[in-house]
Amino acid sequence: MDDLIEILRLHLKRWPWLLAGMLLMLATVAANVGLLALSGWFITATGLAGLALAAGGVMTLEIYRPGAGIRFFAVGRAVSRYGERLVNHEAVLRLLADLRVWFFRSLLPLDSDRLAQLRDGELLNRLTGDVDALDHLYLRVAGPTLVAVVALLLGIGFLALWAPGMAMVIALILGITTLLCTVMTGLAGMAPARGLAESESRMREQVVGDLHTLAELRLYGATGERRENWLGSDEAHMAARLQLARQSAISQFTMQAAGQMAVWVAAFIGAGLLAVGTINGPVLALLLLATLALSEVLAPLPGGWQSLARIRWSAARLRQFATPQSRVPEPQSPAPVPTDTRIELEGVSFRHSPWQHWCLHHVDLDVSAGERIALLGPSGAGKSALLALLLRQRDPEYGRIRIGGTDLRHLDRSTIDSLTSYLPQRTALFSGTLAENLRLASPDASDETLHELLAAVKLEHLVDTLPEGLDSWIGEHGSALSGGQARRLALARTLLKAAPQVLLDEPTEGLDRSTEKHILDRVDRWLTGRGLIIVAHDRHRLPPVDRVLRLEDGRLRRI
Amino acid sequence: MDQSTRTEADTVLEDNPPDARGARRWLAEQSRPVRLLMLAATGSGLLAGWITIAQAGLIAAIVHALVVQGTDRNALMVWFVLWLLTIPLRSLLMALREHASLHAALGVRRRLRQRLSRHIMDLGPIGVRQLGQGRVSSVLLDQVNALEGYYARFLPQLPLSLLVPLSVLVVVFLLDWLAALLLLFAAPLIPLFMALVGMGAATVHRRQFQALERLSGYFLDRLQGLETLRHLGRGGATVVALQDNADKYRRRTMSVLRVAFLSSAVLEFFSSVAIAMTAIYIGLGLLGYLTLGPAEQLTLFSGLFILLLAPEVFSPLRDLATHYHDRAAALGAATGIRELLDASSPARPRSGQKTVSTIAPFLELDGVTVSYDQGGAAVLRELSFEVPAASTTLLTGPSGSGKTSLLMVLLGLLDPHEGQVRINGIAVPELAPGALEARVGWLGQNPRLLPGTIRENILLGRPDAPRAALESAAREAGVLRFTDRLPDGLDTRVGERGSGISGGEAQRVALARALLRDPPLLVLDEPTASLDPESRGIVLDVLQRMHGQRTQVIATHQPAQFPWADRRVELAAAEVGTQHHG
Repeated sequence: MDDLIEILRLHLKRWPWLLAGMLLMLATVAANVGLLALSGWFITATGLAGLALAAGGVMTLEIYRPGAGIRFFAVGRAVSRYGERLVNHEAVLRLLADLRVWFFRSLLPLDSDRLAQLRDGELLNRLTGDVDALDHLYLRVAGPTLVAVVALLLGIGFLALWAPGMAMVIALILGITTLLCTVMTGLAGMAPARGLAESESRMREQVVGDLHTLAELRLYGATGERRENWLGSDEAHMAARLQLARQSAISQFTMQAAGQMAVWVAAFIGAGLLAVGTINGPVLALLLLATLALSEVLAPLPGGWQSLARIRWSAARLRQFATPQSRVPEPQSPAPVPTDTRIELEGVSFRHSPWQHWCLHHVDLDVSAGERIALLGPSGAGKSALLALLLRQRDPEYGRIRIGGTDLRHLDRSTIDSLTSYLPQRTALFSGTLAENLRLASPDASDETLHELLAAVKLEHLVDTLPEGLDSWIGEHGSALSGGQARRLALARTLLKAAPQVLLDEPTEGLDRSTEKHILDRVDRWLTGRGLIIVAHDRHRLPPVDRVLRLEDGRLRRI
Repeated sequence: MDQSTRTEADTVLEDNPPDARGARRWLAEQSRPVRLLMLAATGSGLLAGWITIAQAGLIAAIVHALVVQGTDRNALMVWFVLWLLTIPLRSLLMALREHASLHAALGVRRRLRQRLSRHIMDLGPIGVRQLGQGRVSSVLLDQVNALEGYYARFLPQLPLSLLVPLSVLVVVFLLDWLAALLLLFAAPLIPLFMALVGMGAATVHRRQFQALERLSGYFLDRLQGLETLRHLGRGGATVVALQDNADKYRRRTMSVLRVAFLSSAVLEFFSSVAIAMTAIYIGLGLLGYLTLGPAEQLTLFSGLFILLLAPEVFSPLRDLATHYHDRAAALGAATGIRELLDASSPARPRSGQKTVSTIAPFLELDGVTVSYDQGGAAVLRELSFEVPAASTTLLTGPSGSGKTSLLMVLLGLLDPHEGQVRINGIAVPELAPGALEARVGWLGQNPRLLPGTIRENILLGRPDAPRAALESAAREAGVLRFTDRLPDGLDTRVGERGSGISGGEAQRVALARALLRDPPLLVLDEPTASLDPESRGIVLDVLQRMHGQRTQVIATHQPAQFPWADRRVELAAAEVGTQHHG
């Protein structure tokens, strides 16, 4: 239940909408009960009056008020149902936005490598699917349950006005079955709901993994076996699905039967009351039809409670993902922002995991503020790891890193982010315009600056050819741009960010020689007065730097 | 978000996908093997509907007897018991209907999964890449599941939404034709109503889907780049932007929904008004205020009976409306599934009898032309050369010259458009299924490991290999050098979400896999690109040691790494020249 508490708290913030939605649901139920009950009463009363009239007797029956009542309930039912759908959709859309913002916010303080996992499309789809599943909590579980309980109480009270004994018996029948069914489906549904989710993600993992390795599977003759595995997971999924369906069929069967039983009991007891004169004929019809309409409120409950298992499962998975595993704990009392950006590494050792080679082994380095350094070395030597340490995405196993004399471990993340501007190997662009993507780095940058910047990364031609210039849409993740264009736009954004230390990880990777040269010749003016650490492959393909260092076998050498 | 989800969304978005009629027919065809179950579902639904009618009649009769005739309760015991008996019967039939239709839906799903998975395996890596991996997995996983609602809910409900109201109307007609007319009037021709409901529901579905899709796209985009946003100091600003964006879309969606919901509100309104009018008509008739038509013959029995039946005319229609989005989803999914099933395999299944011996084979390529699309540009044109037995041949050439495609042809994963490949003089299509695969080892540029342990990955090449053979292959390929440091050794889990091992280490695992299989023919695609020095050294050592014992074909950008190679085939843009090396 822990997992759901935070979600419920989010719901409470939207109480006016939820309350309005539930009141309208209740109004729909009430109008339906009213329509049927009043119609039954009216027909029976007119039937009796008609017979009396035919027999020559005098019987006055006021027909205008009941007639108006019937029309009122009829129109009311349609209107409240329409209103209910609108209000509940509004409520759910608001909730969904809240849930997403909540999830985004809870991810903000996480470690970088946890956030990097979000690039995995499958995981991302699963997580957002989980967020979306949470909005069922109100619409399928909490809303219908609360409405059913209130409607049942009101309805029973209404019946008790005429026949308290009958109301008690009906309350017992409906109350006990509802309680039993919802609790049973809620509890018994846990295991198959879990099985359902697990077999589904297992199959997804198998299929996605196997499609990547299809060449190997074909050549090693393993496709038949793999296919059996997929279908096996699918069978497990279907078995869980059937088990859930069986449970819900049983509870629906019970609920329906209980509803009908309540009507039967109403007729049976009512017949007795009629015989002794406690109630009259029209009231008997009213009670019968009211019970019939009332029992319909309970129908959605078992199904709703069954989906509670899925909701809890989703909430638990989200919470697990959003739980920080602080590999780089934030300082208790952060040090003030350092005034200069001299970087010192002192005996720094680092490896990705305890069983891997040292990427950095007792490395010492002193970079004065504003100095420009190039870092070369074979791939996999740990050049990017050094940048990760400077950004404090990870901490070194041994040794110390200081910036402006302050240990990185004493600075909070936002300070380190404000001191650095970093271009990783894999960059992210966002759906939006060219200008919007650039202005993420500096919201107040003028159009002129942006144009100059784009010229420096050789994108001015692109901007000129686009119909809307800087305001052109670049698609989801910049999908309207080529790989090279996206890379250059990301570089431009990095250069635009006003931070004293710039860190570039292979900025011109994947660009052709002439574009690379164009860019390397022009970045200089955007780096004025700033420090630079640039990771590259080739010492002849660098912007002007003060020192060139080579990282190999965990050691830094000057070349 | 990847390509596949976007295309899927696009197809669902369209109310009527390009070939809606074809999609509908295809959907209907799929239900043929389970038509008995479907029939059982519809049949029990109809029976349950009839029992509901009978129950209404019983209730009306009991009330009539009690109120009008003053009959004693005990004299009505038979009716009460009869009513009591119908209660579990009706519930049972409803449960049966659910059960049968779910089984039918799962039956369709099982058959489709079997067919699709076989087809995907036949398409092979080339066919899957041409279609897009994301798209293929989305068809197999999501789109097949998207059919469930259609077969489990929509299709069985479709005939019921016509048959049940019709049955009710017939009964009402027999009781009082004017009341039946009144009900019919309220629902001016049920099919018309259904079309209205359908259009309304489809609009609602499409709009909602569109808005949610855009909103999700924005959300996904920001989540994926969260690290970047935070580094740029825009975390807080993005929270605000997310909220604004959601508000904007909510407002736009709601303005559409306000109109779209009207169509179901109209149905709701008509059904409510019909019930009210029926009640008032019956009441006035009973009072004798109405003298037109059959009104004078109304009794409390027939009046109450009609009143109880009136909602049953509309509720099946309402059920259908709630399941309408299942249909839209299924139509979209059907389009995707059919496209996949219609894609032809780039390598036709072989059906010959011949096998390949375990001795290093010689290969002959004779006028091989390869193009990926029928009539598309050729990647390789009329390529002919020979690979002698137990030789090492290097394939070189600029990227895009077709080296990898040629390797795919040698591996039997891609059929040449024209020309022939012969192994030991036997044309590849004459080989028995699996005969070529049994004799070839493969090492790609980016080693692909399966999710599982390192041991399982090595054993893939020869599942029954003895322990000693496994360990010697692992040692030779330098796998033990790093697994000895791992806490779980060879049983360390790797793969998609397994613990990370480096690219070089993965390549060594792939090499061990190939060695364990001990194939006479080795096909390698830039086996040393993007490897660390240690792994590169190991791979080159092993290849050199096998030189002269096996036939090796190696595509490479760095021929200097293989000074011991016998021959070099230089591929230029669709042209070829052979030269001896060294």
